[in-house]
Amino acid sequence: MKDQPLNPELFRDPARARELAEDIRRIASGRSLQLMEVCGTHTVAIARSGLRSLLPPGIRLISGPGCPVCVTPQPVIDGMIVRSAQPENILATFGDMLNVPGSFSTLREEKARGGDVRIVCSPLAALRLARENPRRRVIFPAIGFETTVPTAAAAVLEAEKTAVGNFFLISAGRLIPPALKFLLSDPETRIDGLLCPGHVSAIIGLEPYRKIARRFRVPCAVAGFEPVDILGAVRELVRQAVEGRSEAVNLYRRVVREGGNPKARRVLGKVFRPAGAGWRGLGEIPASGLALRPAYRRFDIDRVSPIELPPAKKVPGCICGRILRGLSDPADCPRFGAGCEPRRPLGPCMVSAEGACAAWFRYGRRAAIPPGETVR
Amino acid sequence: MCLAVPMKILAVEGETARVSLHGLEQEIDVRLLDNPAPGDYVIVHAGFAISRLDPEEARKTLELFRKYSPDRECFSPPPSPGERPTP
Repeated sequence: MKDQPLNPELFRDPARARELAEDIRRIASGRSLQLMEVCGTHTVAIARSGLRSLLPPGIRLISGPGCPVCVTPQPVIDGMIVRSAQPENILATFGDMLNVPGSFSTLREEKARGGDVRIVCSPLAALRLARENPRRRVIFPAIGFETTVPTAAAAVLEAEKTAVGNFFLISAGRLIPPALKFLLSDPETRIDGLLCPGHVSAIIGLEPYRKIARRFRVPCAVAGFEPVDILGAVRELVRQAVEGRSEAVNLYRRVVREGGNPKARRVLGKVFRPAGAGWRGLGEIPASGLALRPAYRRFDIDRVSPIELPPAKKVPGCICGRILRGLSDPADCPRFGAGCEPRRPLGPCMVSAEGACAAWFRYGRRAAIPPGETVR
Repeated sequence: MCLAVPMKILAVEGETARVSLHGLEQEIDVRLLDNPAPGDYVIVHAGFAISRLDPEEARKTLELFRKYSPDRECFSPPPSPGERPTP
């Protein structure tokens, strides 16, 4: 990766970052604008590199619903935890689900009590576990957005092809464009520009944002995850907002193609169809979730083996829902840093490393880039 | 969750590829990509290559992200040749 110009260091150059910040200050010239970063990975990158400290005071970056762990509703989390405690099951999950507080327990607590919870880095690893443990049921929570769901779909197709009968999904995938439309229709949420998620866009391409930009008259910029990528996109959004334009532009062309990844979308669409789904903090959004198509229903653990759950408990005082809608900052929450922190999280925005609360807590109000250093 | 890592393909065998990053090697799945080949840089997410990195586009983006000057267009880039024009 040292070969130019793919070397990520070039996109972390402080001199370049400062120039872009100067441009932003000059173009914004005191205006107040609210830009939403839709992706949790952007949230972390912004907090970690202290980009907020480079922006003029009127430019406010708010975190959107782009952290899958954060937006997964409580009953889905509770269901996963209950299943992890059943002796016939192996719950194979990405590591970021482990500490998510359910109404009564967490996956980590169930694991400590003897529940068989395994961490996997790929849905194919979960499928491998199913092959190795033919007498157990291996359940993979298919949580994630357009980036992640094609990988779960590919695992389902592989399980079908190789006749693995003990591999199941908790089908909890979510689609980003319906959530954006929902937020842009919300009279309470003010969004002057969308910093669009780079790796979701690698799959869905630019067309969904073009429709959103036209319909809601909001500038959209697809951006990479290095500080210079993010500042370049902020500059573009500010300039469009100031000029009264609303276009969708791709500023992450080294990874995102205009048409996205059609092959990944075909795999996703073969296995899943859009369905109404709940989002924590946002509520029910039509056609924003993913249900297994009839031909693949035998992989749906909630259909094969439904469970009854006690009503989900709400965390008193947690304002995660407002944060996910860009109405509040983490620091506005009475529980932020006062009983709720990454080691003992109360709400999902603090649990996931990509949650807005966790990013704010970990990196605080980090100051601008030290002179002569690159931003990591 | 959508975190993804750029890695270099060393070898491809069917739907599997051997990739490396900073000397670390691992196997990934390449079935979501068209024509993966050794030498390609790919973006890896959840064990799958989901996109290919394009060094030429990286260079163009760096060019775009320079300080604004009135004699040089450095904002919304036109689509690359072969891409659909904005409707």
